Amino acid sequence: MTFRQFAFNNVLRNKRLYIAYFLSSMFTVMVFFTFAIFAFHPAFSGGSVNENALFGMAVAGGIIYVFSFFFVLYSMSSFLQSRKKEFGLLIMLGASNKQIRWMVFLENIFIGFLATVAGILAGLVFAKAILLVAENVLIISESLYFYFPTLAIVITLVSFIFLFFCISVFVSVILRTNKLVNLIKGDKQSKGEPKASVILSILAALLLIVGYGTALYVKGVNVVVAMVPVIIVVTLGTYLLFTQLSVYVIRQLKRNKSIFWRKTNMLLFSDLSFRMKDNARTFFMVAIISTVAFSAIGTLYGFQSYLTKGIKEVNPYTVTYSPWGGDSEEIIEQDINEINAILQEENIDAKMESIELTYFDTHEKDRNVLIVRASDYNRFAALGGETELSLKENEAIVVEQSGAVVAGGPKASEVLMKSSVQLDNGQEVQPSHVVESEVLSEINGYYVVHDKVYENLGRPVRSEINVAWKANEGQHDQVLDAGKKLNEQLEYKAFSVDYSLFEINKAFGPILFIGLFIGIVFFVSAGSFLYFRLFTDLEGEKQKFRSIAKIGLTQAELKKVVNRQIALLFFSPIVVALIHGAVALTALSHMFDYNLIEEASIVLGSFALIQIIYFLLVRFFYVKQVKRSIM
Amino acid sequence: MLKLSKVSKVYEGKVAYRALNDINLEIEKGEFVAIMGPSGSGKTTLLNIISTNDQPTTGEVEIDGKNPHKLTKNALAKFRRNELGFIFQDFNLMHTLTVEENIVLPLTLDGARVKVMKEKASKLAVSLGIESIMNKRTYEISGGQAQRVAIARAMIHEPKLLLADEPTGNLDSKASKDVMSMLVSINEKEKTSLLMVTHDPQAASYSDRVVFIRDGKLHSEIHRGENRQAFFQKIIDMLSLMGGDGNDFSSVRV
Ligand SMILES: Nc1ncnc2c1ncn2[C@@H]1O[C@H](COP(=O)(O)OP(=O)(O)OP(=O)(O)O)[C@@H](O)[C@H]1O
Ligand SMILES: [Mg+2]
Repeated sequence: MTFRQFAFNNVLRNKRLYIAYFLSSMFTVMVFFTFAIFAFHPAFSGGSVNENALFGMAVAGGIIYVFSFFFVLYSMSSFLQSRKKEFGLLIMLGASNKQIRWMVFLENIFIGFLATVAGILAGLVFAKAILLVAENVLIISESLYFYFPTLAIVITLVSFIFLFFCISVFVSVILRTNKLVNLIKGDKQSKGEPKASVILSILAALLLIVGYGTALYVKGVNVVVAMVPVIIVVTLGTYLLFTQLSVYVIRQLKRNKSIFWRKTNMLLFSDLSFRMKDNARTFFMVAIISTVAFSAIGTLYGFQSYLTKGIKEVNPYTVTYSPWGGDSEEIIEQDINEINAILQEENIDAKMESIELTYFDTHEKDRNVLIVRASDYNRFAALGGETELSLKENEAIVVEQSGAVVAGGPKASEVLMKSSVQLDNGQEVQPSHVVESEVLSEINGYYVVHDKVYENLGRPVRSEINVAWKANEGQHDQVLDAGKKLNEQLEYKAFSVDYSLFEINKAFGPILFIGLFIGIVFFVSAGSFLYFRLFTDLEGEKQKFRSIAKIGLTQAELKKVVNRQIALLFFSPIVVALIHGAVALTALSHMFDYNLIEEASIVLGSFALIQIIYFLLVRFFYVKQVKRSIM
Repeated sequence: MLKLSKVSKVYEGKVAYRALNDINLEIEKGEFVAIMGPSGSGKTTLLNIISTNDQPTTGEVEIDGKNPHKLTKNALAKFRRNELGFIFQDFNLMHTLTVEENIVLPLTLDGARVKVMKEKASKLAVSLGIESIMNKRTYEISGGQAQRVAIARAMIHEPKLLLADEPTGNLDSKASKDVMSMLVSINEKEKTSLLMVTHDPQAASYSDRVVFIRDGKLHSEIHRGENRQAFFQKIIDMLSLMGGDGNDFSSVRV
């Protein structure tokens, strides 16, 4: 048997040991490959997707590749860690360092090659699944059909063979062969409970408080300015949180015998502190990666909702029509007929209301104000399903659009409240209060007055016609078709909310898809980190539980320990990430001054739910494995 | 206290192997019994069956009138940590815990009070001479020290039956004498029944009775009588009668 054969057989016959490492490598390849499938999808290279989206994809691809590198390196180092004892034995039996490095090198090339091939195969399946999701969730006009991704395969194969080659060289060179005795003691040797310094623990808390405080405090454009420093501070804080603060807390817990020596706590905490170094690193990575995922998806989703919800809110009607300033009455009449015809063509039941918006002079010159008859207002309010106003004679109410954003200057309502409605006879009517509504669209706000008051207003300086249609519920598809036609035939004059939303979603679809995909990839990676962490320690755990079972450990106690152990591993980084994500999304909502609570809750809530399901699944298999080993 | 009737164990495999054959054995309360026999004769197998770590193929085991093999898993776990104490051949200590924590582990699982645990642990530590290493981790102590830690852990909950697989296997003669006197004093003071597998005639001579096994069958037994020196001589004689040179035994373990 040559040494090469030995290395080869070592992998094949030690399958179980290698499987975790193999799986995590395969997973990484799969993620990259799936991404490549989309990046090189003919639909995207067709040119119809905008430049920014393509650039975003390229950046994301790079991040994923770099990330793969670290992930594989990390998996590899903990894999080698668990094999210390084996190396020790080999050295004791007379293997030279060179031989061991050579063995590790060959193994990695071998595993790397298998992982790359398997990852590509798994990626094909994964891509198909993602496409199904994308098709159902997003509007992507270029249908992302499934194609045979030759280019993606070649690129993935080359990149990863290269990556595994680099890592193999890298690892076999840095694999410093420690003192033999340390190797032989292997896993029994403490990896050293990391020291926790009080100062650094306090610093961790401070950094997080400052980071959060700043993120929550700043408003508007300042959010952008503060973003990078806050990210750095919080990342650092998170790192210290896991490496210092948590170690510190566990140490204190261990020192407190009435807690540490209580029932199964000893089993739980001794293990936690024993693995704290590895765990801290995993926790940190998982927390940060998940935060990226949450924030990416939350931001895109929030942004989309900001665009679409805003439009929906300010447009309560299905179709609105407002002519150009110079349009004659004939043209207007023609237009309205045309709109009605189109609506009829599509079999849409819609009610129509029209109004003549009349503008009057004010005290200040160059400023006109819209004054509306209460009955007109109420007709439109009824059409749009908003609350009608009841005015007393000689009353005026200021109406302001809640969604209207006026950059700088006083709010529209403030100006109007200070001023008043002038009547023909020289009298003035003071406005009584402000109402927010979207019944009529006028960015500067307007007065609504009692019909009788309106009679006494005199001549308006100008007037324009506005017509609105409201379709009955449940005709979405027809309305979309009509909107498309209206958009083509009466560009800019007729406005269909549903069609504009559709257009926005369409333009946003690919970007959202990429964001969603990256988010999912990062989140799934975080999950696989945890999985890998858990299962590298599985053999040791089994050993431990086997020993304790001999002394006497009930099933319930075993379950309790394992349950808490996995729960801590799975939820402590995710909870931190959820908090980070919530803070980030709050900052985002401050930036746009737009309430994102609903969107943030949906995104964060679904991630939390997925994590819980993942936890239950993993726990089920883990407990099963441990139980089987102690029988 | 302990009663085995017609216990047999067959290891299934490519070739079924009968490791124990119709063993009948009875141990009184407070009795100290040593089991000896050539390597591969079935001593560890027997101990595993008594300690409920393994099931007998046929036959009955009774401890204090109960058959532990008929208990549910949970009841069995409780039974183990309340009634039985083990000293394993390979110590079976947890490397993530300190010596002291290892010793109190069975009590913590039962939810004992910290003060009680501390007292018991330190009392045992003093009598076993391991007080100075109580805060060390298990990889920082010697084999003999680990052996004593394992003994302390097996005794902390004052079991009714203490089972030991070669408790002196890792010790020099001075240390093994200490450990043996320790076991004897527990046996006498606490009235703990003791069953010990050993290859060491010296250690065996501390017992009240030595049972010899060969090829999975009871071969013979000898009682101690008054004189320990004479007992020791009888053990040596029996060993050489059973299978050549007595020295053969001391080098072989599981
Ligand atoms: N799990 C097993 N499967 C099959 N055969 C086994 C198994 N365990 C032990 N045996 C066989 O049963 C016989 C008795 O083994 P046991 O371990 O009880 O011996 P022992 O008396 O403790 O020996 P030693 O003095 O060397 O420790 C041996 O022949 C062994 O090969
Ligand atoms: Mg044995």
